[in-house]
Amino acid sequence: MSDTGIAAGHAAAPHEHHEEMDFWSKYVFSTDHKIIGFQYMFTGMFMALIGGFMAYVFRMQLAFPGESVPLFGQVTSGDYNMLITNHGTIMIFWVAMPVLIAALGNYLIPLMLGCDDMVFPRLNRLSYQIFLLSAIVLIISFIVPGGGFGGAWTAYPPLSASAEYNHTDWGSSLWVLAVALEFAAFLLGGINFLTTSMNARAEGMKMMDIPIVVWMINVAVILFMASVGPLIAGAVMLFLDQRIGTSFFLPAGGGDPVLWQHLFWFFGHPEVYVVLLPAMGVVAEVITTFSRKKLFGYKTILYTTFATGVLSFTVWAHHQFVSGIDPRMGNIFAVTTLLISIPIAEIMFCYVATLYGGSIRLTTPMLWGLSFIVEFLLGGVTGIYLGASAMDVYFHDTYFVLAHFHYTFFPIAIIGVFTAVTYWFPKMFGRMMNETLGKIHFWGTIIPFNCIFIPLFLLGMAGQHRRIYNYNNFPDLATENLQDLRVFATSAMVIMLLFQIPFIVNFFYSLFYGEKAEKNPWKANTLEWVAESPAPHGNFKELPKVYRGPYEFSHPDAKEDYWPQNVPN
Amino acid sequence: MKMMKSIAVVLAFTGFFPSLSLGCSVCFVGKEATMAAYYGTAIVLSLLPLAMVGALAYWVFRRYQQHDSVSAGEYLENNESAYPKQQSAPTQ
Amino acid sequence: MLIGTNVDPTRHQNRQKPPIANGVVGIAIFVVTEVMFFASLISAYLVLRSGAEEWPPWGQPRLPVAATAFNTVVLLLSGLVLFKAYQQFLKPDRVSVSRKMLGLSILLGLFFVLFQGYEWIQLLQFGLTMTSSNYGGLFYLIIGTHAVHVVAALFFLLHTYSMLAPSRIPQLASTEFVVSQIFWYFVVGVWPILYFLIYLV
Repeated sequence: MSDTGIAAGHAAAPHEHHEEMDFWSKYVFSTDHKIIGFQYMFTGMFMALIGGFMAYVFRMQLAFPGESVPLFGQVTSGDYNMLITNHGTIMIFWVAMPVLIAALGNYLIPLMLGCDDMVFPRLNRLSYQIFLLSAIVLIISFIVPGGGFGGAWTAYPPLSASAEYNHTDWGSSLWVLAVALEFAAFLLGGINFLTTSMNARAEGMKMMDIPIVVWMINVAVILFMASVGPLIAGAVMLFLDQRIGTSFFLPAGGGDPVLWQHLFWFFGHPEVYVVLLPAMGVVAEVITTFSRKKLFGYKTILYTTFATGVLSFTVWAHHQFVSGIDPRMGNIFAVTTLLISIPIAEIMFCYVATLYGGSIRLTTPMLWGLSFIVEFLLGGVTGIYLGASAMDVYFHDTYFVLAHFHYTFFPIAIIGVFTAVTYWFPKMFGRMMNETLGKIHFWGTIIPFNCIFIPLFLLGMAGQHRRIYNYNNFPDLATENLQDLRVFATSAMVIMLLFQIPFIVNFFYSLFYGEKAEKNPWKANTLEWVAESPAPHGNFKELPKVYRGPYEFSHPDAKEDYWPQNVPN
Repeated sequence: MKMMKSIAVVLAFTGFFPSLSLGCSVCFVGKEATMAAYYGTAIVLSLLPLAMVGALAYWVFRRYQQHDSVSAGEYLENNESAYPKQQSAPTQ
Repeated sequence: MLIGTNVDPTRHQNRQKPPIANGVVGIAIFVVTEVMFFASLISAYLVLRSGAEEWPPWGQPRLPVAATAFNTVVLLLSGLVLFKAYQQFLKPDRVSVSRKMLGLSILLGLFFVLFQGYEWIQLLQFGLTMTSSNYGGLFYLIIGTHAVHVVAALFFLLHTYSMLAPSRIPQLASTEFVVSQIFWYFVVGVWPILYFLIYLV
């Protein structure tokens, strides 16, 4: 096929479509699902660095108001708004979504289902390219005249709808454009994931033999696909308000700002479950593998996942209890919000039951997985306070809300990602990560994380409002003990950021010099461990056949304590 | 029966006594017609995705059932000896 | 020892030919997203309309109800012709007939878009613009979005049309035909709802 010199040199060996590719076609314009997954992952990690740096700058401003921040300089109120807005936007849309859904979905779905690639590889590549474009548009929005958008990541109009109010004429339009482009990218990716999972499973793999993480990614994709329409519609209307001068959301011209809140949160709340479910799936894989025990209640977990999906469409207005919505609606949404904690709690119980009586191995991925359960539980439990509409009236827009959703999003986006990366690193790059550095990184992240956000719960209960640039302007909130809590949280945050250095060192050192990984270093059952480490182009030498479910650990009929899905007996 | 009673209580509170949840000063802004519009569109928007995804899932399920029954029949007609062969196939 | 209990030998045909083709699964999911997109535009329309003092606002031109009724019939006819075209396609040796009917369907769809464009020019001359009021803004937003979808769906259908050319093998186009059909039915099916809500009510 190929007549290049390199391929001719290997002509003796029979290879159909594995001819040598140059750097560009192999790593940049690849249609291989693994490479696209890595592209998503590295883009997401790069954006995480930007988002983390933003958090550092505004936390420093809150702890030491008015002082020059090292590496940034003086923070003006406009800078502050832009930093908090884009911290939220980046961390949710450009870190949690691409890494958890796009990167893990791309990498894991074909490998775990035992097929060689996605069913629409070119669509997949286009999806990443649009995503990259959206990231570039967002970064450009920071440097256009007027600076980046500063109307908070929820972009409530009228502030976001008119340059008269937000003073970021170009920044806000580019922000909307970037968000819309990103969703177009994930739409293409989502179509791919669902179709692949439905039509390209390994021979013999029935619905109930699919690993939980693949199920959860697919349910998440369905949630995303069914809920993203309203946000795209809202984004188009917001963009028209900004650039053409319509007044869909501007009360002055007969518009209704609450309409945006409905359209935004109709997507915004399912979005939480969109990023949560893949992280929960990753934790399920890790927990069952390192407990050496069959996952407790596979079907229960599956059906409660569906229940979560169904309920997640009926809870969004709990973000708007104080926005002037009909109180009848408020009551219904309070009830559904409390209800949705039940399926999630049920999944958590199944995880704990999996641990019970298992021979637990505390490897780095297992530590991350266990910490996910604990930390997410705290986030979920505090959510119940906010879901009750009567309490939300008091807590709304305070640091209590902020601490609550960081206790959910941090486990999802950070702990979930670290669980996945440390667990699948051997398969991704063919080398093992260093366990000692991994554990230093784990404890150095988890302890400061709690030190950051527990003080913020206290601040929230003391009435500290969100999105305030300098608390010295509010005598009630500028007392010494409250300021001490802020300084404590900020110091913990700087420590946490510094403890990411061991991870970065570990990641890149292991990438090149780590111990070579065997095919199945964790002795797990799912199909990705049948492929070579790192998985080559085309994944499997011959496509695997599936004989049983994915979690047959310590089965009495098996020779060893694990029983891979593809082994006949 | 007990469940029916509790459902009735919940419905009564949410439907007939909305003013009980009037805890905030900013509630009840806007016209009655707007509120009805929000109410209606919220219900439609919540249920539409569930209905569509449910219908799609049912359709897929039916297609798979039909496919399985058809292909199983064909398989046995065309290649009856394959089944036992498969059973004793790879032993390692 | 457990062989045969878990593995079903008939399943391996799934691998070659799934019960529902890849393209059909993809477009079905995409249509779900599109329906939600239109549903939220309609919701926005209903909410903003309910908040307005007077609808249509004073001094704004009225929409051409009768002319658009004719246009609606044209679009529905186009969907019907497409349905008949696919029925012909499924019969042996009727591909050329099917192709002609598909062509007719495309022409009807094209007429719909052009007629809409003509209507827009008239309305703009009468002073209904995106910024003249929310009435105009919503009209152009929703009808314009639909028009964009019509144009995109017409490109889909044209692609199928070219795949049915006599020099090509028609069986290869079967998935494309179904995919472009589903998308066209969606575009045709959403129009009467829009017509009813925006022109009539």
